Amino acid sequence: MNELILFSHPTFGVLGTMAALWVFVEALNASDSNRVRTLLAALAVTTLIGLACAAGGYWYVFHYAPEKTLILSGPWPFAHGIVMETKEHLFFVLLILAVYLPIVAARRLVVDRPARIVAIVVAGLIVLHGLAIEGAGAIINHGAKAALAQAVAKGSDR
Amino acid sequence: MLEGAVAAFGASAIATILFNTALAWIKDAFDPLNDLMARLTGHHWITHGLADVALFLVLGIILTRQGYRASGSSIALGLVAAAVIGGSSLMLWFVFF
Repeated sequence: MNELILFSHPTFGVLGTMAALWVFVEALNASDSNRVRTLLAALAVTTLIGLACAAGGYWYVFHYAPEKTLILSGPWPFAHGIVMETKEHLFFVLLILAVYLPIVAARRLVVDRPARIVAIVVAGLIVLHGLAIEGAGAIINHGAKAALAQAVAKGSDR
Repeated sequence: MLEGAVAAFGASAIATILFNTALAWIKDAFDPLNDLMARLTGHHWITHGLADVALFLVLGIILTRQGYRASGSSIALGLVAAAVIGGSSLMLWFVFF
Protein backbone atom coordinates (compact mmCIF):
# COMPACT_ATOMS: atom_id res chain seq x y z
CA MET A 1 0.00 0.00 0.00
CA ASN A 2 2.83 2.39 0.91
CA GLU A 3 4.49 1.79 -2.46
CA LEU A 4 1.18 2.58 -4.18
CA ILE A 5 1.06 5.91 -2.33
CA LEU A 6 4.73 6.60 -3.18
CA PHE A 7 4.26 5.95 -6.90
CA SER A 8 0.92 7.76 -7.07
CA HIS A 9 2.77 10.97 -6.08
CA PRO A 10 4.79 11.39 -9.33
CA THR A 11 1.93 9.90 -11.36
CA PHE A 12 -0.54 12.55 -10.20
CA GLY A 13 2.24 15.14 -10.63
CA VAL A 14 2.87 14.19 -14.26
CA LEU A 15 -0.86 14.09 -15.03
CA GLY A 16 -1.30 17.52 -13.39
CA THR A 17 1.62 18.90 -15.40
CA MET A 18 0.11 17.52 -18.61
CA ALA A 19 -3.26 19.02 -17.72
CA ALA A 20 -1.53 22.40 -17.20
CA LEU A 21 0.00 22.08 -20.68
CA TRP A 22 -3.53 21.38 -21.93
CA VAL A 23 -4.77 24.62 -20.29
CA PHE A 24 -1.78 26.49 -21.79
CA VAL A 25 -2.75 25.38 -25.32
CA GLU A 26 -6.48 26.00 -24.79
CA ALA A 27 -5.76 29.52 -23.47
CA LEU A 28 -3.50 30.25 -26.43
CA ASN A 29 -6.41 29.28 -28.69
CA ALA A 30 -9.15 30.74 -26.50
CA SER A 31 -12.62 30.83 -28.04
CA ASP A 32 -16.20 30.48 -26.85
CA SER A 33 -16.22 26.86 -27.99
CA ASN A 34 -13.33 25.81 -25.68
CA ARG A 35 -14.33 27.89 -22.65
CA VAL A 36 -15.86 25.02 -20.63
CA ARG A 37 -13.07 22.65 -21.69
CA THR A 38 -10.42 25.12 -20.49
CA LEU A 39 -12.12 25.44 -17.10
CA LEU A 40 -12.46 21.66 -16.76
CA ALA A 41 -8.77 21.22 -17.61
CA ALA A 42 -7.86 23.87 -15.02
CA LEU A 43 -9.97 22.06 -12.39
CA ALA A 44 -8.19 18.83 -13.36
CA VAL A 45 -4.86 20.59 -12.68
CA THR A 46 -6.03 21.63 -9.20
CA THR A 47 -7.33 18.14 -8.39
CA LEU A 48 -4.29 16.26 -9.71
CA ILE A 49 -1.69 18.57 -8.13
CA GLY A 50 -3.68 18.45 -4.88
CA LEU A 51 -3.62 14.63 -4.98
CA ALA A 52 0.12 14.67 -5.79
CA CYS A 53 0.69 16.93 -2.78
CA ALA A 54 -1.42 14.72 -0.49
CA ALA A 55 0.31 11.49 -1.58
CA GLY A 56 3.81 13.00 -1.49
CA GLY A 57 3.10 14.76 1.78
CA TYR A 58 1.86 11.55 3.40
CA TRP A 59 5.03 9.74 2.30
CA TYR A 60 7.28 12.61 3.38
CA VAL A 61 5.73 12.99 6.83
CA PHE A 62 5.32 9.31 7.75
CA HIS A 63 7.90 7.33 5.74
CA TYR A 64 10.71 9.55 4.48
CA ALA A 65 12.86 9.77 7.65
CA PRO A 66 14.73 6.43 7.15
CA GLU A 67 15.27 7.29 3.47
CA LYS A 68 16.69 10.68 4.49
CA THR A 69 19.19 9.00 6.85
CA LEU A 70 20.14 6.59 4.07
CA ILE A 71 20.64 9.35 1.47
CA LEU A 72 22.75 11.45 3.87
CA SER A 73 25.04 8.46 4.50
CA GLY A 74 25.47 7.76 0.78
CA PRO A 75 27.52 9.26 -2.05
CA TRP A 76 24.79 11.79 -3.00
CA PRO A 77 23.93 13.57 0.29
CA PHE A 78 22.96 16.68 -1.68
CA ALA A 79 19.96 14.67 -2.97
CA HIS A 80 18.41 15.42 0.42
CA GLY A 81 20.41 18.45 1.63
CA ILE A 82 19.71 20.59 -1.42
CA VAL A 83 17.28 18.83 -3.76
CA MET A 84 14.70 17.46 -1.29
CA GLU A 85 14.85 20.56 0.90
CA THR A 86 14.14 22.72 -2.16
CA LYS A 87 11.51 20.37 -3.59
CA GLU A 88 9.47 20.07 -0.39
CA HIS A 89 9.07 23.86 -0.28
CA LEU A 90 8.81 24.48 -4.04
CA PHE A 91 5.83 22.14 -4.11
CA PHE A 92 3.77 24.73 -2.23
CA VAL A 93 4.37 27.23 -5.07
CA LEU A 94 3.00 24.65 -7.50
CA LEU A 95 0.00 24.06 -5.23
CA ILE A 96 -0.82 27.77 -4.95
CA LEU A 97 -0.57 28.24 -8.73
CA ALA A 98 -2.76 25.15 -9.26
CA VAL A 99 -5.43 26.54 -6.92
CA TYR A 100 -5.26 29.95 -8.67
CA LEU A 101 -5.53 28.58 -12.23
CA PRO A 102 -9.30 27.78 -12.24
CA ILE A 103 -10.03 31.26 -10.85
CA VAL A 104 -8.42 32.72 -13.99
CA ALA A 105 -9.74 30.05 -16.35
CA ALA A 106 -13.32 30.78 -15.25
CA ARG A 107 -13.10 34.13 -17.07
CA ARG A 108 -14.16 34.45 -20.71
CA LEU A 109 -10.59 34.33 -22.02
CA VAL A 110 -11.51 34.99 -25.66
CA VAL A 111 -12.52 38.59 -24.83
CA ASP A 112 -10.64 39.12 -21.54
CA ARG A 113 -7.08 39.57 -22.82
CA PRO A 114 -5.46 40.37 -19.42
CA ALA A 115 -6.97 37.21 -17.89
CA ARG A 116 -5.85 35.22 -20.93
CA ILE A 117 -2.24 36.41 -20.47
CA VAL A 118 -2.34 35.47 -16.79
CA ALA A 119 -3.87 32.05 -17.59
CA ILE A 120 -1.09 31.33 -20.11
CA VAL A 121 1.62 32.46 -17.66
CA VAL A 122 0.19 30.49 -14.70
CA ALA A 123 -0.27 27.33 -16.79
CA GLY A 124 3.28 27.74 -18.16
CA LEU A 125 4.72 28.20 -14.66
CA ILE A 126 2.90 25.06 -13.48
CA VAL A 127 4.40 23.08 -16.36
CA LEU A 128 7.94 24.34 -15.60
CA HIS A 129 7.57 23.76 -11.85
CA GLY A 130 6.05 20.33 -12.48
CA LEU A 131 8.97 19.29 -14.70
CA ALA A 132 11.53 20.65 -12.20
CA ILE A 133 9.88 18.81 -9.32
CA GLU A 134 9.68 15.55 -11.30
CA GLY A 135 13.41 15.90 -12.06
CA ALA A 136 14.12 16.59 -8.39
CA GLY A 137 12.21 13.43 -7.47
CA ALA A 138 14.41 11.42 -9.83
CA ILE A 139 17.58 12.83 -8.20
CA ILE A 140 16.27 12.01 -4.69
CA ASN A 141 15.39 8.50 -5.85
CA HIS A 142 18.89 8.06 -7.26
CA GLY A 143 20.39 9.40 -4.03
CA ALA A 144 18.64 6.60 -2.12
CA LYS A 145 19.59 4.01 -4.75
CA ALA A 146 23.26 5.09 -4.75
CA ALA A 147 23.34 4.90 -0.94
CA LEU A 148 21.89 1.38 -1.00
CA ALA A 149 24.36 0.30 -3.71
CA GLN A 150 27.21 1.67 -1.61
CA ALA A 151 25.96 -0.19 1.48
CA VAL A 152 25.64 -3.45 -0.49
CA ALA A 153 29.15 -2.99 -1.96
CA LYS A 154 30.59 -2.38 1.53
CA GLY A 155 28.78 -5.48 2.81
CA SER A 156 30.14 -7.68 0.02
CA ASP A 157 33.70 -6.46 0.73
CA ARG A 158 33.59 -7.93 4.25
CA MET B 1 -7.42 45.71 -16.39
CA LEU B 2 -8.04 42.74 -14.11
CA GLU B 3 -10.52 43.05 -11.28
CA GLY B 4 -12.33 40.85 -8.81
CA ALA B 5 -10.99 37.48 -7.70
CA VAL B 6 -8.55 37.13 -10.61
CA ALA B 7 -6.64 40.29 -9.65
CA ALA B 8 -6.97 39.74 -5.89
CA PHE B 9 -5.88 36.10 -5.84
CA GLY B 10 -3.15 36.87 -8.41
CA ALA B 11 -1.63 39.43 -6.03
CA SER B 12 -2.19 37.02 -3.16
CA ALA B 13 -0.35 34.26 -5.07
CA ILE B 14 2.63 36.59 -5.62
CA ALA B 15 2.77 37.44 -1.92
CA THR B 16 2.31 33.80 -0.88
CA ILE B 17 5.12 32.53 -3.13
CA LEU B 18 7.55 35.05 -1.58
CA PHE B 19 6.23 34.32 1.92
CA ASN B 20 6.78 30.59 1.30
CA THR B 21 10.48 31.17 0.61
CA ALA B 22 10.90 33.57 3.53
CA LEU B 23 9.25 31.11 5.95
CA ALA B 24 11.51 28.29 4.66
CA TRP B 25 14.59 30.44 5.34
CA ILE B 26 13.45 31.57 8.78
CA LYS B 27 12.39 28.15 10.09
CA ASP B 28 15.60 26.59 8.73
CA ALA B 29 17.74 29.23 10.47
CA PHE B 30 15.70 29.45 13.69
CA ASP B 31 15.13 26.03 15.28
CA PRO B 32 12.58 27.20 17.91
CA LEU B 33 10.22 28.25 15.10
CA ASN B 34 10.75 24.93 13.32
CA ASP B 35 10.00 23.09 16.57
CA LEU B 36 6.90 25.19 17.22
CA MET B 37 5.63 24.52 13.68
CA ALA B 38 6.27 20.79 14.19
CA ARG B 39 4.33 20.81 17.48
CA LEU B 40 1.34 22.63 15.99
CA THR B 41 0.38 19.93 13.46
CA GLY B 42 2.82 17.09 14.08
CA HIS B 43 5.21 18.14 11.28
CA HIS B 44 6.74 21.48 10.29
CA TRP B 45 5.99 20.82 6.61
CA ILE B 46 2.24 20.47 7.25
CA THR B 47 2.18 23.72 9.26
CA HIS B 48 4.18 25.44 6.50
CA GLY B 49 1.72 24.30 3.83
CA LEU B 50 -1.32 25.29 5.89
CA ALA B 51 0.22 28.73 6.54
CA ASP B 52 0.77 29.23 2.80
CA VAL B 53 -2.76 28.15 1.85
CA ALA B 54 -4.29 30.24 4.67
CA LEU B 55 -2.34 33.34 3.60
CA PHE B 56 -3.32 32.82 -0.05
CA LEU B 57 -7.03 32.45 0.77
CA VAL B 58 -7.29 35.16 3.44
CA LEU B 59 -5.30 37.76 1.46
CA GLY B 60 -7.23 36.88 -1.70
CA ILE B 61 -10.59 37.28 0.05
CA ILE B 62 -9.54 40.58 1.69
CA LEU B 63 -8.27 42.03 -1.61
CA THR B 64 -11.42 40.86 -3.43
CA ARG B 65 -13.63 42.61 -0.86
CA GLN B 66 -11.53 45.77 -1.18
CA GLY B 67 -12.09 45.80 -4.96
CA TYR B 68 -8.40 45.35 -5.79
CA ARG B 69 -7.54 45.97 -9.46
CA ALA B 70 -4.32 45.39 -11.41
CA SER B 71 -3.21 45.11 -15.01
CA GLY B 72 -2.87 41.64 -16.48
CA SER B 73 0.79 42.24 -17.32
CA SER B 74 1.64 43.33 -13.77
CA ILE B 75 0.06 40.17 -12.29
CA ALA B 76 1.72 37.99 -14.97
CA LEU B 77 5.15 39.61 -14.51
CA GLY B 78 4.75 39.56 -10.74
CA LEU B 79 4.01 35.83 -10.79
CA VAL B 80 7.01 35.10 -13.04
CA ALA B 81 9.31 37.27 -10.89
CA ALA B 82 8.02 35.72 -7.64
CA ALA B 83 8.44 32.19 -9.03
CA VAL B 84 11.99 32.89 -10.27
CA ILE B 85 13.08 34.77 -7.14
CA GLY B 86 11.29 32.41 -4.75
CA GLY B 87 12.49 29.21 -6.43
CA SER B 88 16.10 30.24 -7.00
CA SER B 89 16.39 31.77 -3.51
CA LEU B 90 15.12 28.54 -1.97
CA MET B 91 17.71 26.46 -3.80
CA LEU B 92 20.58 28.90 -3.14
CA TRP B 93 19.69 28.95 0.57
CA PHE B 94 20.04 25.17 0.83
CA VAL B 95 23.22 25.23 -1.28
CA PHE B 96 25.01 27.78 0.91
CA PHE B 97 23.50 27.35 4.40
